Amino acid sequence: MNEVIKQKLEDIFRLVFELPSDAKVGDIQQIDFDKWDSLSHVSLMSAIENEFGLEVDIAESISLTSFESIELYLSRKVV
Amino acid sequence: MNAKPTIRVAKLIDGDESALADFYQDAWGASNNSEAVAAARNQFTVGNPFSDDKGRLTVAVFSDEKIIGHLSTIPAQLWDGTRLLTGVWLKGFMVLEAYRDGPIGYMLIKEMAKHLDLSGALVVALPARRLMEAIGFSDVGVLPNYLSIDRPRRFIRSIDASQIEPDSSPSFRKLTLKALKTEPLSSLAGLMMTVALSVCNMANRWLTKGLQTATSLQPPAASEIDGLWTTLRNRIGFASSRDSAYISWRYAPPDGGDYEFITIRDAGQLCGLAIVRGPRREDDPRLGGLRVGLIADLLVDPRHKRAARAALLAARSWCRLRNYDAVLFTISNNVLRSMMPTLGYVPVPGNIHFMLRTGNSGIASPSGLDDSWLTRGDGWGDDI
Amino acid sequence: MKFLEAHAAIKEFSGGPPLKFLLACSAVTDTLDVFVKAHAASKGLDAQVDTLPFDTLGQFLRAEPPSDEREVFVLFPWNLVRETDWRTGLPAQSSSGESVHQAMAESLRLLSLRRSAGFVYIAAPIPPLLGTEARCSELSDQLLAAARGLGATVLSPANFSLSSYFQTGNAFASHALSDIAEAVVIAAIGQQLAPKKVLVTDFDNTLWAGVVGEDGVDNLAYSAEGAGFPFFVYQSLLRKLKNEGTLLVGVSRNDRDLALAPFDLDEMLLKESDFVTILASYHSKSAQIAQVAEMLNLNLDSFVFVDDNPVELEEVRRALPEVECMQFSADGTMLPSILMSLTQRFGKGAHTEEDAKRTDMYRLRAASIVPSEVSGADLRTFLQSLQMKLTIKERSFGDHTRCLQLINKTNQFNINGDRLAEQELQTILSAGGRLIGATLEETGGSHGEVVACLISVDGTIEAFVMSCRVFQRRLEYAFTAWLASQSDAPTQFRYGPTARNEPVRLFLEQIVGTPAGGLIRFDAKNLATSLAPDLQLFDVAAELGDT
Repeated sequence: MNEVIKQKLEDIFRLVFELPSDAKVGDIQQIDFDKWDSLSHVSLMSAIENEFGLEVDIAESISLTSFESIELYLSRKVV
Repeated sequence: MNAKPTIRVAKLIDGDESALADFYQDAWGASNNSEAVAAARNQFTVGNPFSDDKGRLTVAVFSDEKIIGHLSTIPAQLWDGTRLLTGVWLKGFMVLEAYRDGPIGYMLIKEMAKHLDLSGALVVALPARRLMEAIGFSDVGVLPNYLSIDRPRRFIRSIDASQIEPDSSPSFRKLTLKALKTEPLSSLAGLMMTVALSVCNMANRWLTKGLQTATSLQPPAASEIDGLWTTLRNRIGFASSRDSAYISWRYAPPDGGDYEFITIRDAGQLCGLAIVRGPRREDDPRLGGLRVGLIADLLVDPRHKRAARAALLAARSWCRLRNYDAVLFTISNNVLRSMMPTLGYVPVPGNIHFMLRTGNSGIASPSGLDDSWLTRGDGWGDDI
Repeated sequence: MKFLEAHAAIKEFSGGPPLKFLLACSAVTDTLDVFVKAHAASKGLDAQVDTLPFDTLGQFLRAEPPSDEREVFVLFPWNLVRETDWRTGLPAQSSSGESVHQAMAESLRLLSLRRSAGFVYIAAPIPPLLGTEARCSELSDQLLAAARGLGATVLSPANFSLSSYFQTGNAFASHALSDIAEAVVIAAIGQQLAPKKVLVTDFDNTLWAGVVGEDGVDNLAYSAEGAGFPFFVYQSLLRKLKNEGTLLVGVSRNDRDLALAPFDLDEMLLKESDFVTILASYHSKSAQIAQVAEMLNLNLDSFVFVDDNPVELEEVRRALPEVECMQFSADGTMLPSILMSLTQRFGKGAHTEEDAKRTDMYRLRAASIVPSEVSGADLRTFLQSLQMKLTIKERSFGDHTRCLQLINKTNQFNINGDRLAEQELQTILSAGGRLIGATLEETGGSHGEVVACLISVDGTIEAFVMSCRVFQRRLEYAFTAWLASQSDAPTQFRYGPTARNEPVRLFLEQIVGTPAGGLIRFDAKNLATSLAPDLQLFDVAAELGDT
């Protein structure tokens, strides 16, 4: 994946989940990360849509449950 | 290649019963028989004195034709210190496990917000509270719990503190409880608590001499309940309506419920009504096999402290007769709360938040719980 | 402004006077908050925003307005006429026009009572509730007119997302959050968007696709086909605005003849005569704009500056905060809102004969302007926020196609303009010379390989070129600092002035003093020290391989 896009995604995670600027986010998964609830999920999708100029379909959004899955999604969607 | 499912949120209509039945089974392990589901839904509206003809408002998120998220309401009436207002309790906020923490909860709450006006909810989980705040619910406060322990030694040895104490509570309390589980500390602590409780009971019996106590499977006369409710509501700033129609429907349904009614009379006049029940499940891992009775509701004039004492003592006696290990009482009103230590009820950390959305009702959201009258039975909080 | 840039702007903001207001909207505004704060920060203000609980706008309007609190209403059509809300579905029968108009009148009455309010109206499409397309279209127009009557800033339908509104109830289009927030902040400040007078436009990748200094005049795209279409439409808007009285100014980082050359092309819609003045130089754009304002005797707050380059925009924003800066994008999802925004700033309902002649009148005044040599705003903190990554690559071995192409194609930042044949290159390398390239990535994306440097065995920099796409980033200084810090650092430049390489002359003037043609010696250690701050703007990686 483009390093710049990955860096942006990392920064988005840190900002949405209010993590320190050097926090490691690559392993974050919805299932075991307390800060990732429905409200923060919507905030995360909104930030990603805005930053990368996308519209994330709700059905796609349901499967975006980890940093890794979002990274993969962006590698397909962002040119 | 599988096509993407269509995700949509909608108000439930007649015809969705089959999908709803499947959801009930997936979410709560209930029977997926459509008739059973309809009956379960109707219990909150049929006979409910605050129901209107619009039926029970429920919203759901569908993935194609399968319900994956659900949120419903129970018609209610709320008192704001000067008038009674129509409202609802939110109930049954549930998203199937595979879909949690995604957009489904958000979609449910946003759809429900379109239809809501004055509404309350008793909520534990933080994600649900955050969602509710996003649509204008205020977190008014945590309902305080009080426990009267009738068999202290057995209680101390059985309770699993780590499952009851919030993570944020001081570790010294958890450590203390852990230490007390060992002998001879548990016997010693149990003996001390038994003695203290006996002294407490004696003092309170003396204070409540002259009041008459009775227990029944049926509520007292409607006019008596209405009189007591009118008195109570004039002393408080906020409550869910507890008139006779509600009390009968809620706690004495025609097909029989599991509640009992403890009346306190002063020279024959009803001055206190405690509504109690036994434990509905005895496999709660947090309780380690303990049996805890519940004071689901209480009507009493908070100025009539003797009546309040008598009702709470009587509730404890009721539990002791049934060999329950303890009795739990949840009450928000600060006058009642101030009495609890002298009644032998100890505070227990609570986790049920009362959330309120005032909508277009024009009432001001209470700034705290002190002036309110909320009990475990409100909003079906005794299901939690 | 995107999400990360908004957060960076807030982080960088050191505080300012408070901008307190209540944001009254029926939609959820959580996602808007950060952009509101960022736009306020860009204007030196600390936004302190209260919001209404979700879906309580109707109740709020019926309540007594707060006496002294500034309010900004962000309205959709359904806030004026409830039946136009997509989420309630269409009524069982077509609505009567009368009931709809009564509803609108009542909503307007309530809104007009809010004396301390600013309004933003998002002209979202409405469902077909009136039976015929004509009647629905008429209703849309009436809602728009009603909003304008309130003095609302009108934002185009592109700011609304129906799919998002259906799915989650969020009505704002994700890509439009910055524009909406900006309108909110302006409404909060209390300025109406007064018609602007001067549109200052960049040329390369704004007026046409391509960089005239690199791609050449013949390889630009600007006509009504293919890649040129967005630029053709942009030019047509500028022509229309000019005919209605807007003054056009061109500011380009180019030699003047290069900047003007494309206007001689037959298919170029705009001509040089459409501009009041065109200022082409390698000095800061803010200095050029300031000079134009003074010469034309116009206030800077009547200027809008349009450029595709965020670095140029930031430089102008910092140096001239009164100038409204707008980033141009040929992207199909962004272009409509950009053009609509320009129309809002400059558009007039009616225009006069005098408007059409305004450009000619001002051209006389501007005839004597020469480009200013004043340096621009310090962009250091902005450049740091770009998180630039410079990767130095050894090109002495393997594929050096791009490097050679850069050396032979680049004119402006080219140390001597000498072209290099492959054989000549091999001769220098075989004798012990080195060819080094460098790529640049930043938050906006990757620029690819943008620097090439050929050093002969005696330490002479025979060729040093840099793509003009990455001007203004201090990249030439950083690369030179890196070179000078190597153990085998070069010791001299082979400089030759050309008709095109003014940027190199300015660069050398900064680092070694006024250059004369020929070999310019330098002390590598001193140079590395003096240019170290520029190197620190970059995260540097070196892929030098085994030499």
